[in-house]
Amino acid sequence: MGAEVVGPDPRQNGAGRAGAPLLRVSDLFVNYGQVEALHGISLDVYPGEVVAIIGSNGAGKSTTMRAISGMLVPRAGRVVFDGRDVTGLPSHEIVRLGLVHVPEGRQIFANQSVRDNLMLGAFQQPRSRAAETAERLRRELDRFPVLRERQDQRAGTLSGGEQQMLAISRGLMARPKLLLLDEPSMGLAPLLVRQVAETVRQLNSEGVTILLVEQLAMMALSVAHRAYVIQNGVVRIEGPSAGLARNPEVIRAYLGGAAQQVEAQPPAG
Amino acid sequence: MDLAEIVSTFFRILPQALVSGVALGSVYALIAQGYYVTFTTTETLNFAQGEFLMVGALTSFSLMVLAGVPFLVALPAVVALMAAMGVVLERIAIRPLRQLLSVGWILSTVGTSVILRQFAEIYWGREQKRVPSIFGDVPLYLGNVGIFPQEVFIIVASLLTMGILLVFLKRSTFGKALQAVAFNPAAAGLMGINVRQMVVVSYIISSALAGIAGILIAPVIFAHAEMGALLGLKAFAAAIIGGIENPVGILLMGIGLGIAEFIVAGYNASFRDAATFLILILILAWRPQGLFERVTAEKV
Amino acid sequence: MHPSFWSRRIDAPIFSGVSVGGVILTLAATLALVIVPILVDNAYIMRIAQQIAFYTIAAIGLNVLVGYQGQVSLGHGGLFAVGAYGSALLATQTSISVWIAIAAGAALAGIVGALLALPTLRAKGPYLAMVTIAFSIIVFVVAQSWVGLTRGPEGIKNIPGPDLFGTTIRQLRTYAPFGDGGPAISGAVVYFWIVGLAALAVQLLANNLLAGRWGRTINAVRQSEVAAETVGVSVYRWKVGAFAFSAVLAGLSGAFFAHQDGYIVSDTFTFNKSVELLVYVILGGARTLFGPLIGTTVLVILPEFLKTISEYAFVPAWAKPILEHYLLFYGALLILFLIAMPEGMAGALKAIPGVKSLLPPTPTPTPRTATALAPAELVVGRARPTLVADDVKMYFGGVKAVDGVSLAIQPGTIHGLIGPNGSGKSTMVNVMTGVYRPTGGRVRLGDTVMNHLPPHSIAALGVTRTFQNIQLFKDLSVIDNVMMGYHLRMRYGFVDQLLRTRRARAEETAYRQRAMALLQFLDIAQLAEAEAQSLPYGHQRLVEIARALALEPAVLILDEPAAGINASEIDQVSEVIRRIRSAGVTILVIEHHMDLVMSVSDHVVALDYGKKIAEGTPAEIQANPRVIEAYLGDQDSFALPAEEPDAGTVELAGAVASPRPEATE
Repeated sequence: MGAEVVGPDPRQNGAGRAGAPLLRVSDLFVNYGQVEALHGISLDVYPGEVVAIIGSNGAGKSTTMRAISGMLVPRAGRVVFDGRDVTGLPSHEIVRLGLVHVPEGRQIFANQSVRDNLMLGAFQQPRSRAAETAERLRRELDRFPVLRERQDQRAGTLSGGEQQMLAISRGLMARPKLLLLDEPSMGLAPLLVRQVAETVRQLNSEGVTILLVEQLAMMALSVAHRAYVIQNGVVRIEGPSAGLARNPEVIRAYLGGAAQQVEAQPPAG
Repeated sequence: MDLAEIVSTFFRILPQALVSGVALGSVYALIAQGYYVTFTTTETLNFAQGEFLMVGALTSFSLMVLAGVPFLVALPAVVALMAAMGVVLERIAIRPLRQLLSVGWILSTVGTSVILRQFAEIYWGREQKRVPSIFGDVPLYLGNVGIFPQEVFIIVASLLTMGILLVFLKRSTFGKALQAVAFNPAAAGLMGINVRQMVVVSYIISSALAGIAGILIAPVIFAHAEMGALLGLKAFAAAIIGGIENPVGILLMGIGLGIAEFIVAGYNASFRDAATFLILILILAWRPQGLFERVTAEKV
Repeated sequence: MHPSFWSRRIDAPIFSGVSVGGVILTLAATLALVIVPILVDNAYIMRIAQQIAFYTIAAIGLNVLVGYQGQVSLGHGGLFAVGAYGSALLATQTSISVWIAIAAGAALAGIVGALLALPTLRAKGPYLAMVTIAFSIIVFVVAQSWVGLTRGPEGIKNIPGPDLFGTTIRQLRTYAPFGDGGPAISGAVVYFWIVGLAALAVQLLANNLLAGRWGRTINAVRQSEVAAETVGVSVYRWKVGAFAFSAVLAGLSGAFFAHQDGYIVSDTFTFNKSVELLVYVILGGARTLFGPLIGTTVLVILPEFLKTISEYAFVPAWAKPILEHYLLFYGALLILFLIAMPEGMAGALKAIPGVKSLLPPTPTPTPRTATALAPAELVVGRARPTLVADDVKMYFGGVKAVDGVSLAIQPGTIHGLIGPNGSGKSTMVNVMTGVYRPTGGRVRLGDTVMNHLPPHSIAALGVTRTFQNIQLFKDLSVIDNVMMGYHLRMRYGFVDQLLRTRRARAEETAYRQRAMALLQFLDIAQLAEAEAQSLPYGHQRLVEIARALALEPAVLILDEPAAGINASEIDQVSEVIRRIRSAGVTILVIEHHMDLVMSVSDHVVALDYGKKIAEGTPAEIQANPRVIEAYLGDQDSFALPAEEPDAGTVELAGAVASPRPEATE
């Protein structure tokens, strides 16, 4: 019927609501200059979950993620991570707390080697943990064999899918408590998109909590426990992914309401 | 001069020009690496780099000649002073002006160069200062070609410094972090790299390079308040022609310009300074992106 | 006198639009220029005054370049030298009149400036700064070394002064211009009259230029080169033109300098001269009309002032050399002003109440009436060809951003172009407007192939666009933004503008009325005088559209018109788009906002991975499974979770019409 689920189905475990959320975003307002892009976004992520933010492009998904990770400073609202208020902190400080953002478009350092990209991912790890970091490097190079193969090549020579793998591994080098994945499927062929979905499931089964931003609703809903549908800067629908997958409102959130019939007007003049 | 004379003069000049030119050129290259480091990281550079060199040279005069401080102490002292100046420059002349006017930093660093030149004239006076070389001032001869021991030292020290710089940038974690900031500051921030700190570091490195160049060249061309202007600008020409984001291109171009300068001087001493800039204008007219820079299609 | 008398604006050549107060001030200044020197009659003061006068000329030119057009030149000292040497050599080596020599010196500097700018302005980055520095230095070195031509440090002596009253003017002689019965006037005063009146004329003419179409275009190019291209401005040509103009004035200044004392030496023309000129402009206030005059006056007097102070007894010995090195102050003040007072001294003066009303307006005030033209006549003026893309390909290295897309935008319709991120929509727009040259295929308007044309030529053919991140000329008023749309239509020339002739004023008024009518058509006429960047985003978008409509485009491309517009304003945007189409404009809309694009479009094309995957009516597209798959993904590829009966879906308040919530602090 479709792709099989590999390993224990994470949707059956871990989405426990017990305890405080790992990430709580409250009433987030973000501006780009004069333009208000987010008009009050609220969401929660609990430990062990995969939560997705879906919606059409321009809806505000990546903006939300950037405001969480410190790339943007919100105009109003709060971001609380692991009990700490991190609203408005610069991204290099937020990473140290364990909130790791794998950015949209991958944004690997194309002029440096694959291995160096991974090491840069561990930049903020203290020197005292060097042995651990080296161990993690070994593990990440093995996670996606292509990375070990090409570890000394310039990262810019990797294909789109390989770069996505690299970006994810680079994020993992930072020992994330929460991993923000920003549109990992963008620009990838359908087969690779399935591989990315697989990777997300695998990571979650290893215990990584993930907040995933995706345009491809179907891909996101197949790996997430819960999802928020964002349209025009607000959360329009939220709920368990099972319910959303069959909800026609989701399609309408992407492609608009029923097309209004415009009467054909004879052009003037 | 007819063609035969031109050609024969050329070959007569060439050996000495090569030797002296490499020495001078490696100083140009050293200064220009400073432009490279800050420009790749911040898209700004220090138009007062030559004046920083001058302050380094004159400070080495004050330390070594007036105060009798040995070279091995003077060198780190000059470098430390330069680093401090770099921090101040970045804070006052660069950081406030990077966003507002895209050209504000050009004017402020030019203003800085004027201030430093005037200050040097006031403090050290207008006369040229002799800084004796620690290797003595007797030239060595190989056939007709002479070279001062200091010039040998300049070549070795400059190449060594540039080598260390390149290794640092390419191999050390810190250097790779600097490169990451240059490539994509937002993504670098996501790695936990403090971008603002890195910008300051890039200016420290750039200024330190100028200081080293100053203390190296002082024994050869005499230290005085005006020495920095032309040096800084010729080094800038080397950076532009070699490709401002290409350290190897800069090295080659610096040396090339040094040699070209001595060749032109062999024909007509008074045009030696104009030569570099004429070459610059001609090359920019032909290839605006410099000789070695790769043209990247800009995606709008 | 009633205060409103002073601020009434007059309508006459040269002074058009200036307030009565301003005119009276100008006349008073002219009278003062003539009379005061006779009374003062001090050779030293006259020399300073002459210096202020001719350096102001150079500063005005440099201000046009640096302040209004936004380019940095550190080479105007070199152009000053070219003017000085050009005029000096002509005057000493030939027997032509000194007046012609001065003009020739200025012209020569203009030519050299243009030659310098032509190759350099093709490059991006700080290259112009570098090349101009190099130029300054080359000029200095040539002046020092080519002794055969310039006499080097020894200098050119005995440069004759200009002829007036039948004799040559020399600073130290006296003349009796009013006949034997009248007062004796020293040569210094006469020379000051010459340079002073020249400076006054340059100031007035520059004010006129900056207030008219020339100034508006230069300002626009500085603020958004991309947008300027879309209204038909050839940005490169204008940048070179501005540079050449400033070069002519620098050369004129240098020529006056050469004839001041009749003696020039190469030591004067160092790189410092370029820095000095820049400092006059920045400290005076870049991009102000009188900044150059104010800056030059203060900074020419400053060194003299400092020197005088340093001779007083109470100044300690260590301070004297500091006071003598006035450049130190220049440098420090430059940095200070750049950081803390970007508006300069003129800006500070403008803050004083009442001063602003004395200034000539930039530009002419708005007529009260709009032209009585029907919308269709305002926005569509020509035959309407079809914009066609034939199998267009756009590859960037290995990336196939657009891979064989064909479209035809039928005249009089609204076409929508949609697609997920990375589908190639923006690339397609950039290809159709000339920003990119396609790797394959053709873009044509009717039968005219446009592949090789730059954006400003495509605009001239009638294809124009708006931008996702609005590209307005931020400092210009709303109506001036729209006036830029008439750039290609306005006919009055450089001289008409210098002198503010009747023809110039009539054309400006006529187009202003058209612009007002356009603003009325879009219901924003009341915002005409507002500064564009002060408006809320939705209104800025409308201004951008009005500007595009001024071109009477064959095809109007709207690139994400809903970007940044909040939910309650979306309907307004839809309505405006339909209104424009009713007037007969052909429109291509690229959008993410599905409600908008589906509700206005007659025909929609969907792209994915650089290819066209569907086209049809909005309803057809919304139901098209391939389109759904492109946006949401293939349902069958992913194992979707089984329905959980007790898990409720929470649907929040509808997305479209929710009012903006209050910000929580």
